[in-house]
Amino acid sequence: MMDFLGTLIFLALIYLFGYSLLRFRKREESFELFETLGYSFGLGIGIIVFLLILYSLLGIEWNRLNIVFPPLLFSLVLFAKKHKGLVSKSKIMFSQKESCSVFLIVLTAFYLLIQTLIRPVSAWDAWANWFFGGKAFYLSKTIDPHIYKFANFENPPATQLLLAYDYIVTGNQNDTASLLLFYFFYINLLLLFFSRLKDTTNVLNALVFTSILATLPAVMRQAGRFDIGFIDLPLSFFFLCVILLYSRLKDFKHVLDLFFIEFLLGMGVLVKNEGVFFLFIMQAFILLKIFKKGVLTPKIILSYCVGFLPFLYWTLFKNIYDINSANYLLHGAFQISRFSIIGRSFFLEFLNIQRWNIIWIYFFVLLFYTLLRKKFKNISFLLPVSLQLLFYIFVYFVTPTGYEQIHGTIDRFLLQLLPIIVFWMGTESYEYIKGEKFFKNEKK
Amino acid sequence: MRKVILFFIFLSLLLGSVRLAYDYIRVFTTEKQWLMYSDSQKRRELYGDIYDVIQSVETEHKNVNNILLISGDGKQFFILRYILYPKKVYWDRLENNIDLSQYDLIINYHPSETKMFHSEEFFNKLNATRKSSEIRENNTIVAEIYS
Repeated sequence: MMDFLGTLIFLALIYLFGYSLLRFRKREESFELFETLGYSFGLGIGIIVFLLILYSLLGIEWNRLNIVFPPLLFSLVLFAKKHKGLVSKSKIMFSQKESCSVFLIVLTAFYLLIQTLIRPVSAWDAWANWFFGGKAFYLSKTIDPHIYKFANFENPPATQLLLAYDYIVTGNQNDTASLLLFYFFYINLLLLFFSRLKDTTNVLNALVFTSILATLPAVMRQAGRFDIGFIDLPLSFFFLCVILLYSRLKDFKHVLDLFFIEFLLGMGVLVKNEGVFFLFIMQAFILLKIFKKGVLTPKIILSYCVGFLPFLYWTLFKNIYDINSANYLLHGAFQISRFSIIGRSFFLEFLNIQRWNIIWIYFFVLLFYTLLRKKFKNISFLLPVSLQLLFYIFVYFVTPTGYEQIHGTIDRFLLQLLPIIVFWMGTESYEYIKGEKFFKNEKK
Repeated sequence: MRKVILFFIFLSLLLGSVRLAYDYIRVFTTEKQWLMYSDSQKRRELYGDIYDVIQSVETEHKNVNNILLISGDGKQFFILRYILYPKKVYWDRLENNIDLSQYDLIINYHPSETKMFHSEEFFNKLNATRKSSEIRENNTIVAEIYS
């Protein structure tokens, strides 16, 4: 019980640290409550990860006093100094139809909470990589490169660091309690998703699409059922944060938003290797936007570079300590003969109703219709995702393990991109159904 | 198109709701015992009989550091490596030129299945140089432990 309490304190610290960073924004740029919670969670995680990396580089011991109090003090000082009322106060009253969706989301979240709490870590990848690394970092109290050598893995350290932080705060290595961290990724993903979709469409539409996302079996598996402890859902959370903040980045009037994007992009790199390619895709988009708007100021350049720092750190770390890298991406032969296997695997995956309900069928119908009608207003939203997907397909063509890897990873790759895709579906569908009586906002 | 989209939305929600209802039913039927289990029972259920080996190592071989696992399956290795850390667990399938003297403890998991992985001489040497004990379940040997 005390371990669960410790993990809840750890989660509260994440929100607090992240929120203190968000408070640098000006009051008139305030986010709504759910959006604030979502971004605070992402930024707070970033602060903890970067703090532990910094301590490790400087040789400062990881103990409760060192890792909790400096950022806590920093947050409290910011609270005292900075303006109040960052969260905009808009009340949401749900109509009857909306309440049904809310009920479905709450029921799903409650079911997943039960699933999270009743089992210790049970997913293969979790105990082989993330939880093993977390335990090892916790015991060594630093990022010990020998652990990478011994365990023969090359995964970026963010998840292991978060788990180590949780164990230090809790004072015990309880892998059942720490699963709450992964559950909270799911909750914050939904909060962000709903909050932004509500702004671009309406409450009912946002709730309906949040329910659809929340109840997808592939999402639920990593949010609290058998695969909790996998980190594709956390990665998808960071991808979504970046895309949603990027969509707000209209004229670079708020440089801090660019900093947050870069900060979260950097986190993606430290969560999973797939985050590296996403970093380069988004950096290309951001750079294009900077040139298009002609806003090449020192502040913007500095903020822009922030996203590359974690990538540089991690690349240097791997090179210095000679940690295995996926060199096949650069040197592996492109095996065109795999075309039919890859194509068939994707096709079968999209039709896998047990894992995805009918979301992919719905998506392709919607995409086809949108392209047919040449309505490209929102399609740019899908460009980074499409490039990321192309990268995954490229990996399948060059990976030495072939079919085995395709079979074992295709659902995870798709899950990483899913929230952004469903968000696009939510905005695009709304364009077609907003005239429908059912989807009109009722008077409250 | 409106009708098609509405059809997809309602079907998605319906599928999600039906699955969730089924999941809740399972919580109160087949998964009910999970709410009562102790942590040890849960891990035994999840990890299988390798958890008996873990408990044996944790109670009877507290001071060993290097452990060699002889097993045909990677799952047992990763569980053992995770739970027993900071004891270092190595898997025979990933080790080249095994030098038995390097290990404080050698676990032959499901010995009936591992015979084919090593020569008779290898097992003879193991039996001749180390004290062995067995973990049994229902008259089947789960593991032979050589200390």
